[in-house]
Amino acid sequence: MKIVPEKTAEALVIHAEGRLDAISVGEFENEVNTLLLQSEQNVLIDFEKIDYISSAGMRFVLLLARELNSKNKILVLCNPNETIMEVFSLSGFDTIISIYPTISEGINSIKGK
Amino acid sequence: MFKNKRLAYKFSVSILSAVLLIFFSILIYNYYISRKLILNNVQEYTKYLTSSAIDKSEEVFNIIEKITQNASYMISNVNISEEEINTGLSDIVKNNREIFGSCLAFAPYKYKTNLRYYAPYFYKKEGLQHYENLANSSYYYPGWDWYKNPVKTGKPVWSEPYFDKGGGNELMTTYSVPVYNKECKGDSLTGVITTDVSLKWLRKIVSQIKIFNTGYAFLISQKGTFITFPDTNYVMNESIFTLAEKLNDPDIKNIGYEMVAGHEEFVPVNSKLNKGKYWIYYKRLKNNNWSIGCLFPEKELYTDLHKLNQRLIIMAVAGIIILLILIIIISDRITKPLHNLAMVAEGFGAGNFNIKIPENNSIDEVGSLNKSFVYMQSALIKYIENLKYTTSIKEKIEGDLRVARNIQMGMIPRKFPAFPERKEIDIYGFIEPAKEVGGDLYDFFFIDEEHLCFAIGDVSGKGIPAALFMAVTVTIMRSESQITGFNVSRLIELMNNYLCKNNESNLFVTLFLGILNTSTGEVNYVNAGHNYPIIIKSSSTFGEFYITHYLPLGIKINSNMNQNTIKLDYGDTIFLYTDGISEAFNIESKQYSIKRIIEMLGHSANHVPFEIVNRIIDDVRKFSLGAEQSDDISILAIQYFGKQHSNISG
Repeated sequence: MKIVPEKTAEALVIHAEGRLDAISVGEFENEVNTLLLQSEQNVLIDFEKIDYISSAGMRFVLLLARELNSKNKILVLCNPNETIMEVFSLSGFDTIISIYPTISEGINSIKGK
Repeated sequence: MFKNKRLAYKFSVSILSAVLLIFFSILIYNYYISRKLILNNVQEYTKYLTSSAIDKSEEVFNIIEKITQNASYMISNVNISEEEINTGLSDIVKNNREIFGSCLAFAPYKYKTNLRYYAPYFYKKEGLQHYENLANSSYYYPGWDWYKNPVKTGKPVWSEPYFDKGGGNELMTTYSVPVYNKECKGDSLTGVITTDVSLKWLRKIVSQIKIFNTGYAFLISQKGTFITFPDTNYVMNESIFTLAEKLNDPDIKNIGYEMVAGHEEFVPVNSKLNKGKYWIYYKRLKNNNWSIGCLFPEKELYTDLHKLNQRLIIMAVAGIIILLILIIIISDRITKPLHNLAMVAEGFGAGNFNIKIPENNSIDEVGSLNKSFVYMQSALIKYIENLKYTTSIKEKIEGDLRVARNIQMGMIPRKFPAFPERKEIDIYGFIEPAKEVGGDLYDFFFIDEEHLCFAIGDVSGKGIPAALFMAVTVTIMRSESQITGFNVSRLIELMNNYLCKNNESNLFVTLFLGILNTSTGEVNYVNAGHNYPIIIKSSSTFGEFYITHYLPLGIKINSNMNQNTIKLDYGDTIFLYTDGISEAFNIESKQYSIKRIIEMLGHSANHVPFEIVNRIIDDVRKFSLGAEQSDDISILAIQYFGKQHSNISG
């Protein structure tokens, strides 16, 4: 799992690459938590280069969303591939987390709130 | 024992090679320098011996020349009487040991005008003095060299050596001085005065020169004739040139020329006369241009040096042997503790950590290695104890996990056929956690005579947390179903509420929950975020349930989870699975995929649930051969036959 953080005015944008499964989720979680400790802000995860998400990965997404929510921040997912989008809609995650096809749309949605 | 000498061997070879190299360099250097010094010394010594012999000889010759010349001055006066002549000659012979005889040979008619030849001669014989007039018919003295040569040259002349046959067989030489009358105009030659000199003393002087054992001196005349030589046969019989001729030896010939020419030189010579290399020094006698040669073999020159070298080599060999013994002793002392440590290390390797390490308190490298070993031993013992402890804990945990697995598996119906008395349905399930315990679940049970409740689910994550959450899910499903009856919406809402309220660790579970009416084939179901089930129709058409779904359980309280209904016909099979199947990876990281499940199921119409499930499992195993099972996998297949049909068939 490769993680490239990018700080913008609106959100901490995380470009992740690889598989988000039970094995890599711990690393991902640590990395994101460390980044959030430095500055509390909205988070946008760029799913463009994520090929797979397991239920453990989804648990992490859910946890992150909840945590940000409790601090009045939001989590936005962008640009998931077709398979992952299917997983999100199948599990109903798309009903509780904002998912956008592009990063700019995601940023705009954060600006709007 | 020999093994631990190998280091000693290396030490010895390298040190001794160096020592030998140094020693022999010194020895060779010393040898050449010594040779040079010895040669110089011997040259000086030889020169000294020869020169002193020459000085002595020249002294004698000078005296004789002086005497003879003085006599010639006396005689040069005119009107000298016969008596005066006789007294003078007699005195010369009498007063000089070396002078054997003396003669005054007058030129024709110079003594008396009426006397053609007159040559009074005094000589010694057997201790007595004799007189003789050499002017007689048998001895024509003006024809002899001793008379002719000084007259011819007008200068005094030393003759070649000769044997005096009359005078005791002595080797002699004659010094002849021409006498001139200064007052006489024209032919002023009065005659020639001679002294005969015995060469006995000269031969003695020369033969006394000895260098080393066999070095000797010889004397040659101006013509090269041997006057003295160790082999007396050569004396007067051979010259250096005839000898060279006989031996066909140009070296000797050259030396002969050099000597006759009166040169002085120190040269090496490889002559055929004597075997081996020789050195020769030659120098002339000034008086008569005779030459003394002094010859000695080089072999003898260096005899002492060779002896010295032999002793040095013997001492060196002895020293090297001592050095070798010392090296062996020292390296043995070094390698023995090393060998002991090697034994200890072997012991460690064999698992014997309590082996006693021999004490070594030296402060050298071996001592510090020994200390390291002692430290390593204690560290190893500690480490092994630690390892044993953690291993026992791990074994205990593993044992616990095995028990936990049995408990978890015990919560799921796994005895098939599950309901042998029920002909209206056939059920088969399969579950395989990726670890000992897992988060997948399936379950089925009759709520009452008619209604079969069935479910398949997947808790987020794996291992013990997921397993506990799964256990909770199964338990509340069973207990709540007692309250809700066959209202599937109500059952899943209650389960969701319970899981949401008691969810500290934010896990969630996807769940497909259905209740089948075994009389009508109607299935009421709610899908909480689970994969779509697949219906295999007996009419060979099949497909997924693309149905309303809700969030997985445990995320959000929802009192509005509406149920859906589907009707099963005779022979229809409802196929439920977890994403462990569809997302099984092979070694190329490719997923098994829902598409492949559907393809496999397409070939599975007319098969019973047991066969369908096993075909899929076998195919997944074949697909992911070599790759580790990454997720729990579960399948549940229920085939419906219905009441009437079962009654007919039963």
